[in-house]
Amino acid sequence: MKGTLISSDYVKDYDGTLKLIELNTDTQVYTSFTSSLDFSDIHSAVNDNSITEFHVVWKEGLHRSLKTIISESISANCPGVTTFSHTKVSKETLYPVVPTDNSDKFILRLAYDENAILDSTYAKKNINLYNLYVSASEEDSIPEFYYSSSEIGVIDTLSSSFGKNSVYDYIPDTVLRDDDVQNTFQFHKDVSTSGSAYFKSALLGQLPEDKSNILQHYCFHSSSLNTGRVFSYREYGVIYDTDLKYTKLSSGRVKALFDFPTGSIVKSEPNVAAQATEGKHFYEYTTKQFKKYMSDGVLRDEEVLLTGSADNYTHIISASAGTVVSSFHWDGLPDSDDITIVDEWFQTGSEIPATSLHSTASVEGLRSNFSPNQEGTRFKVSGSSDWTYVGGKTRVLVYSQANDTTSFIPLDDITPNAGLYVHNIAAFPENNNELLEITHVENFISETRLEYIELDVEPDDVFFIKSGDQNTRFVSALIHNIFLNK
Amino acid sequence: MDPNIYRIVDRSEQINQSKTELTSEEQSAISGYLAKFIEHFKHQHL
Repeated sequence: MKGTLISSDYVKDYDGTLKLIELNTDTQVYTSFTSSLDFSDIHSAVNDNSITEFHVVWKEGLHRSLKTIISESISANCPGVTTFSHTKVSKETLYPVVPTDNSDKFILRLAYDENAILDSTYAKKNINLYNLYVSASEEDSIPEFYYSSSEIGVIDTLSSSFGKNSVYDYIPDTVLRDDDVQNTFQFHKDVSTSGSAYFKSALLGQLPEDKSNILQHYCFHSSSLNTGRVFSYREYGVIYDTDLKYTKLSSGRVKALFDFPTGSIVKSEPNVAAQATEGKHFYEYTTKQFKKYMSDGVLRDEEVLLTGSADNYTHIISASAGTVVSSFHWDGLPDSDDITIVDEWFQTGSEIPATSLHSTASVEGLRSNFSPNQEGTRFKVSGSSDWTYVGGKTRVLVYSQANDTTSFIPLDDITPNAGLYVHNIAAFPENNNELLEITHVENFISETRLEYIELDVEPDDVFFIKSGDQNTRFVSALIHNIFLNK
Repeated sequence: MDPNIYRIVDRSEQINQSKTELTSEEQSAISGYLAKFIEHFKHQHL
């Protein structure tokens, strides 16, 4: 028997009705929901079908605590289960290897699987989810929206509710979603006095043609005015068995991370009827939590270590193909740009192998990306007053005191003051065990867009960025070649 | 040069984001939408 964890999100519209806005697999159960998870239907399915093995397919960074909760729940309630097994899937995996199903096994998949229609059709693409309801003439279940593509054609259900938010100066009228890229929303406000039809026409005229856009009514209910924050409604559940049974695990109402603004929210571009709101408001107009691993690379103004001397840095934005940078041959580190191999590599202890060498590497490629919603991540090491800005997906070489291992860890998985250290490799070979604790890690939202630069360096796949300055002695963090899966 | 920061996100607040229970009407609406989804999914794919 197989099952898949899903979450579904809803918002309340101006008239008090709920609208389904998205359905997700590969979902993380918020901590506030974990104490109220109800697995009783799963217990019954296991016990009624003489299941002896319960298997979980999961991802580190998203599902570790949930896997433990499930294991304890099955152990306490399913006496026939003699084996609790699991498959740990890497963060980047689209096609997890799922064990063969049989009559005495329950396989619960928490991780994304591109082979599953539920995942690749309905969780990945909102338009397919919405179209399912439109095709069944149940448009009332979802927000009013406009979509156009050669594959699906034009769907336009924007009608009466469009413009209902015009009574609030600080609440958007629409949200524009790029259906191909997670968490890329743009909010617009009608600043004209020509009515919602004119606004709609102006907005449609602004839509970029090369993107898979869904233009939705921004659902807002006056009950949010009491708290100053928008709400959404979330339910976790499991779809399981060949006849697609569904069981609710938990549900609840959650609020946005921040109050919505009460001042001007638009960029005030001249002669534009449909004004885009500033990107920094994303976490005020949604209830999304910061999603992990959204940005890769190093912020454009950060400094990468060149060769020649210990303080010869240049801004990473100034690097180009052929630039020679300082690198390091860490003996034992596999020579691979396969992110799964990089993530699986570790060594016991913190000492740099004595057979390692300082080296140089040549930049073979660069690319840049802008972080979604102007969000960023930064860290600081002990003794430093300077922050280092790298993407949350960027792998930093870290020693973990708790595990007594050295490995590459995405910054989003690093907890400050948790016995995690960067190596001061500048001190090698005189000192092969000089460590600096990571004392601060923060997510932030910038006033402006953030550009990250990814480098491909060869032959050794690592380079240094400046991560602090203790008096006159430089400290660098070793960053793995970011052009992974190229 | 550090970016001009608009807001710092308190990671602990995010982790401990509280929830409130749904009203019976809200829960009923959600259950109905999911039942419809599964019904339409079956119709399309099974």
